[in-house]
Amino acid sequence: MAGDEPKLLELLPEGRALLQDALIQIVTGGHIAPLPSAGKGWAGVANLRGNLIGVVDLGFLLGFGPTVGGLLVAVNGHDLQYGLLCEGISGPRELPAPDELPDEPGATDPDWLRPSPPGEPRVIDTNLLLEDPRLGADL
Amino acid sequence: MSKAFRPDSDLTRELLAIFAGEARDELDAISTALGALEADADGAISAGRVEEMMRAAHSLKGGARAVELEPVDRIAHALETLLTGAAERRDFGGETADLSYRAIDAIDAIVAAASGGPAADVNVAALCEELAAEQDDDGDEPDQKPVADEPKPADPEPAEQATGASGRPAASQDATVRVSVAKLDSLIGAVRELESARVGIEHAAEQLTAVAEAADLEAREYDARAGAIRDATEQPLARLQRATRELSEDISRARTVPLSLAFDPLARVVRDLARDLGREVQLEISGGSIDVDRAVLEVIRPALVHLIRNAVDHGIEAPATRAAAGKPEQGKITVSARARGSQLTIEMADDGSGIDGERVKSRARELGLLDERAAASIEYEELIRFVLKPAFSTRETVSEISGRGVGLDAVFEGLAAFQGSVDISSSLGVGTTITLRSPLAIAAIDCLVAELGDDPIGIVLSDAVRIVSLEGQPDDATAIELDGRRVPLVSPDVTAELAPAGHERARFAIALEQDARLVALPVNEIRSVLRLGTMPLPKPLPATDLIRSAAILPGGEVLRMVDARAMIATLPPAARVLIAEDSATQRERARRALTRAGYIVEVAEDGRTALEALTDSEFDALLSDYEMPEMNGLELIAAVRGSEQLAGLSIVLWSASDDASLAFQASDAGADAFLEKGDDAEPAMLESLQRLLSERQARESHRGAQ
Repeated sequence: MAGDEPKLLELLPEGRALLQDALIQIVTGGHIAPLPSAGKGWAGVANLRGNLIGVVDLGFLLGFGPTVGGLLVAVNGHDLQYGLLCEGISGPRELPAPDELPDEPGATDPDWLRPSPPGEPRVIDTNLLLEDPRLGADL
Repeated sequence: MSKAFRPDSDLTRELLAIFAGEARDELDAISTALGALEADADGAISAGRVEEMMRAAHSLKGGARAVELEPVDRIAHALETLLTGAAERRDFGGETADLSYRAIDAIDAIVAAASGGPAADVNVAALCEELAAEQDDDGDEPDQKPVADEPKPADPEPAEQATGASGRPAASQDATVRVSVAKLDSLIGAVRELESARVGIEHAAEQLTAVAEAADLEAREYDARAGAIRDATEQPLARLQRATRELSEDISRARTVPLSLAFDPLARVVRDLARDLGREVQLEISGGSIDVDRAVLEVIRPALVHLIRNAVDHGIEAPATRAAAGKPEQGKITVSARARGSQLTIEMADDGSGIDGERVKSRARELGLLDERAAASIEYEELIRFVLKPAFSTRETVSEISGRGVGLDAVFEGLAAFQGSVDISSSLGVGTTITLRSPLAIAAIDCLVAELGDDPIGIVLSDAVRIVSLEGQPDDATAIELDGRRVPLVSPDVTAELAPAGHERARFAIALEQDARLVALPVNEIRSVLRLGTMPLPKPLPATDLIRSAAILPGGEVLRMVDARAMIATLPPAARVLIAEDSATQRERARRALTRAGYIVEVAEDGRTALEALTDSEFDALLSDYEMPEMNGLELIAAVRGSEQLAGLSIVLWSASDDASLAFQASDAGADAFLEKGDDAEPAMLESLQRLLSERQARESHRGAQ
């Protein structure tokens, strides 16, 4: 049944997840060509099924420093396709019920991480993430 | 404010995506028809245009209901009512047009917001009230303008009669299928993958053939087996080649759109701006039926809007100013497109004030884009290209219209990614013409594939003039020699951009040329030359200076295309040297040697002329003969050293004199170096100048740092 399917994909480092709707593809072994002048938030540009996508370095945006190696996850945001470079994925998760969600985000969290119950991964808003000023994204 | 709308099911989301495309078309249709009807305010009103506009408004309303986009439904209904009244009165000008355009903008914003864009700032109730009030007001004053062709009263539901149930003519329903751009992009991506795999197989087949041909007689068996493999791949490869080519062409054709999609909105832009600025502008457009690739259109469309805003804001003068200058009060902007072969050329010409070179120069000086000496000698044609630079505007104050100075550089970069270009010509008081050139579709080009560090880089083959071995070059070399000409190597900062993880010592340098300037790019390896389709770097990546496009290699790797023009832009401006020499032969010989070495060179025939040249213009170095008429070399040096204006000039005195004391006299006078003329003097002269200029640059950098 569709309603029983997992709705979240948890990313590494643990505690962050993607809504299944935002996910396009997990790209294994994909080559990311670096573009340093795009800014440290960008890991570079990659090939997604014959089209180019910009790749955001999730580790850098979360304050862990540049992601080395890692796994490329292609997502949608602002009607654009782009990539998130993360350390890996740890599997599907259930979406927390709305009444379990806290009202306020953590004080130090970026705007694009939605509030989540304790112990649950924080969901990345793939639209808001592109509005992170560190990316200087061309929207 | 409009009610927030978010699709809450996959079906609604899919329907909404379809509606968003449909709404865009219908809004464009209303806007275009309205613009034409408004322009025809003094003449006949086309019944066909009225019908088209009514049909579009009605379809919008129906589509909005289907996706439960209630604010759009309400506005579209009010707009349809207003337009129905306008059709009855045969008057689409003034407040009716203004309100209709506002309704179009509001619907556009709401649909965009519902599709995931930014929230729409629209007061739906207030807008609908205004639309209704305008209808009521104007309902009392019917106009008398004639309706051409079939002067029939507009039906409240005309679209129902003119079209099928969906609001579209039945014939077109059968003939076309709406395919989303995302799906086409996905298909074309798959085609690229196929093509790239094909190139890979071709490459492997070529290598196999080479191996088979290289096999000696003792390896006949290997030769035979390799030949058999080659024969076996030949037929399938030929089929793959044909199929991918046909598929690529079909998909490319499916992506084409008429240029009118970029041209039609210009009328509205001109109308609104002209009204706001108190200008009178006539717009003439031709060539809208030319089909271009959607990706090309996406670059050209915002470019044209930006350019036409500039033309109205900066170019076309106020009516009184034009009249005082003997021009018609109404200015004219012409936008014309033509296609020749695979190339598209769009010209936008205005008969406005032209570009004021002195203001451009002054602004370029303020922004540090032009130094005093360059400003003194720069030609007008070169000067006006500064308006293409980032953050450039000659406006004293930033206007909301086009005075921010952003955008023209984006136009240039967007086109450069397609190997297109922008040219500008202008004549003060007469007008400005901007010419955009672009391929009609994204075509494959020959790319030189090289390695620097871990990742490949590509260069458009026609930009590469030579590949030179760097064997024997010192590690800290800053230039290579090419046909006796000094070609600067790009700086380590630039190579760090291309290979951020570092790279081994470069083995080759690729000399790149643009606009007669050369630069050498060090690389570790040269891989191959491949015919590849290059693409601009995609949104949401921010624009970068050195890399503006990329391609996909047969193995799936991303090939970043190095932009030769951007590489050359990283070089410091060439040093300017004045040669003071009375012997024509010596003068020409030195001029050629210095020009080959990359310097900008001017000459003077005697010491006095040289001093005048030094005072009038700015130089970095002086190469002076000793024995010259009017003023000899020592006197010239003394005069230079006595001048505060010329402080810092590097001076080399060279002479054929056998007077041993001359070197001391030169030093006492203030020369930085003394050289004896002779057959082998040129290398020493070049070395001296290079050393002195490097020291001068280091001193200036040190002062700047303090």
